[in-house]
Amino acid sequence: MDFFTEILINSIEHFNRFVLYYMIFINAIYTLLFVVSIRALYVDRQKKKYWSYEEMTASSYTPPLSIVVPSYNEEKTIVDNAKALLSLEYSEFQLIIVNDGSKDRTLEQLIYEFKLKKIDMPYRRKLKTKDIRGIYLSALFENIIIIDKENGGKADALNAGINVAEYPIITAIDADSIIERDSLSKVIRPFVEDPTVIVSGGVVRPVNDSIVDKGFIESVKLSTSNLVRFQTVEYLRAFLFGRLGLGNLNALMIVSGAFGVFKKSVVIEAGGYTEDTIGEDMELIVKIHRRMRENKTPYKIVFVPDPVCWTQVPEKVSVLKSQRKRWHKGLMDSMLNHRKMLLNPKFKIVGMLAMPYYFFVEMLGAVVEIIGYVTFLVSFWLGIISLEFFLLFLAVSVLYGIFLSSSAIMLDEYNFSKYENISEYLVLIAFSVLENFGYRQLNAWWRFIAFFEYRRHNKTWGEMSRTAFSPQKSESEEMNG
Amino acid sequence: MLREVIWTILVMLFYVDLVMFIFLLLKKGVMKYIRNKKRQIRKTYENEFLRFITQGGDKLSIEPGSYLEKKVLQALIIDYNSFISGSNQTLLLEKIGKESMINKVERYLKSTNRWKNKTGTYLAGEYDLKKLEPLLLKQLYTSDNELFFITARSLIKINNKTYLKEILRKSAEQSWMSKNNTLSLLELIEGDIEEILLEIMETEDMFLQVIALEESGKRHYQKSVGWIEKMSQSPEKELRIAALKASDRLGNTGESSYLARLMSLKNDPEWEVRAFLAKFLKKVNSDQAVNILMEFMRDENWYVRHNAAESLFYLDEKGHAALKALLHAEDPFASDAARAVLQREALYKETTG
Repeated sequence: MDFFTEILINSIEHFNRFVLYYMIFINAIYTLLFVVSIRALYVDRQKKKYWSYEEMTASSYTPPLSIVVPSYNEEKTIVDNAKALLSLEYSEFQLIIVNDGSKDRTLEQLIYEFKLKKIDMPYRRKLKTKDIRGIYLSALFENIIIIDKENGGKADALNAGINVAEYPIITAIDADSIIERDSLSKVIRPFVEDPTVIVSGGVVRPVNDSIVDKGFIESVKLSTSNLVRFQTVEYLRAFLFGRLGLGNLNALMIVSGAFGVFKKSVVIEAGGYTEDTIGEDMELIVKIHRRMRENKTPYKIVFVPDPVCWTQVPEKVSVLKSQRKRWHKGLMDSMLNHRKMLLNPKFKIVGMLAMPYYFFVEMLGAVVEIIGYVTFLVSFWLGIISLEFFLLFLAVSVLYGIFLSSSAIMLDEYNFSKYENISEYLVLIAFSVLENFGYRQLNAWWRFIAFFEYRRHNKTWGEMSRTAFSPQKSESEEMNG
Repeated sequence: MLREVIWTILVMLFYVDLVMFIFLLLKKGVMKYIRNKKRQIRKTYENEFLRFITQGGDKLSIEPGSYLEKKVLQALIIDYNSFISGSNQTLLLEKIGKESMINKVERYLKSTNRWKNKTGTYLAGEYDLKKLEPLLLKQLYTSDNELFFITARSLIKINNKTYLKEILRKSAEQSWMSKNNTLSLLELIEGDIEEILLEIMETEDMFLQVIALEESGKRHYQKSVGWIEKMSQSPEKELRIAALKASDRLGNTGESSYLARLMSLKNDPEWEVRAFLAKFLKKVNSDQAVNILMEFMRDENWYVRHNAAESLFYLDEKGHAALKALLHAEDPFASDAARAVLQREALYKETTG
């Protein structure tokens, strides 16, 4: 055996050992989150038995809120979605739609449908944004405001909406998302219960192929697209384990941009949404954690498993690839911007658990996984490990993955039963097995590429064009560019 | 050794996954069957149930026999609870087996499991189970914040205002009970509570005074005028704000001393007080109110200016004349705000024709 082969074998053996410990570390965290999530779901289930949402909605003391909806080229869906948002079950709210320099007829559609008129309305510019071209009020509804502004991206649009928002609590909702009628009451409940709550997030689920009418879900259906089914399993796992578990530990690092509720003053103090990042939703939460911990202010960022926001997920591999790469770069942005928090006891559970989880598991996981596949193959070829050991190791990791995914599906059925048919759950279980043979690796590969493509402050977005929801079936997004 | 461990884990995981899969399948199947059954029963019951609670009468043709039928009727009672009271409620509870219901709720209330305890407390209020009142009263001294809230709510549901003083005193002791949570409990009380609120006002507890003041204003109690006058001059900012909130709910009583006291807050050093005064002044259609609002349009605080502009909008001719005059103000906010309010007025006029 020559010198170089010896070094190679040595390195591979060390790396294999590292992979083994790494897997144990990851699975230990997953198991912890799993246990915490089960407890949280149990608590949520119990709480529903003694809380009257109807009373809360009817009460004049339920905090009023401003719904901010950033929109860019949403002419096909914006009117239906705005009408649906206006008919949400909530005592007092205002709807602020921010037209972020759309190139299509988004603004014209809104002007026509809601009889809008431009008003010289003064507002507080607490967050710096691109120029506002006009603020419109509706002659039909007193609680709708449309902001027309220069294009500046989603973060900029959200900041503009926050500047105009009248109420102390704001919620950011994507224009293409569908909120269940009672979701606002459910997501606002933590604010009513506990004055230290400053952010609350809800579950996001894929809407593809469900029946949508006038911006509301009429019937929930599991998509017929295999790619969407894989994502459905992923969303269930991510929200019912990851976010619920971390939220219960007050270590939630991301509240989905599609549906989150915030105390306005906290967002403004944190400087609002960051514009030069891809993952503005995660960046805001990390900034809030950092600020609150540095100021030693008691606070809670919570996750509520019940309020649901339905969103279109990609049906094309190319779109999904682009989305996942974007998410990974966004994650890297936040991790690197706030690396000071990593393993820093000053930030307590956020610094000691959440940051290491996102840094070592979410950010570096794909890199370790891809290199791991290569070294296992090389190890096998060099005779370092036996085929039996390799297969056993792989089987354990796959079965544990199946265990986590099917647990998420089971918990979803147990608590929420969103899908009516048994066959839909069977399909989901099947996809929780199948995802381990190709889909997971593909995802890891995209994240692996994103890791090496990443450049700080390089924000590139694809342009989205959407199709209208139809009463029969929702259609999913397409992305140009 | 390692190989054996991995094999064991593998076999265990396989069986766990298999068991979970079978459980999910069975659970989904059974639940779907039960849900369909319940749906059918509800369909049969709902019309008669609605007729009974809306039109009343002594007869209800629903006769739940099975466990599932009773569960459906229970769900209907909970769903329409705010429309059911008196003899209707008694009859409905008898249909689902009042005694067994009381026993079940009592068991929950005595349970050491806090979730059962809370559910029992909630159900006692929903089903108006007066028999369980002593247990609820004991529970009012709990250190569990959430349990306190549900207990207070149930006591109000069962006995309306009887225990209000105790509930308010305990609320003041619970550091987490926010003002809005306490006021939301008061919203559930029907009928006159003026005497209780006045008694609460006499206490030295600022939290309770704020609650009593705001609630008496909301309920339009005339005696609150005196308290508003008094509290508007309090050195405590919270009480001055509560006085203005109460007066905003109460409106303009026309009494000169009342208005004079409130208007004297125009130079208050706290911007929140000035902002609430600006809000209240929309109900006072006088030259003095317009002058104060015009002054507020140049206030250093944005919220004061914003509220002043909004109030001028409501003051019809005098307010509109003032807004028109402000169109040419040097202060850009004042002129912009005036323009926005006038444009909005034009927009709504256009719609209403």
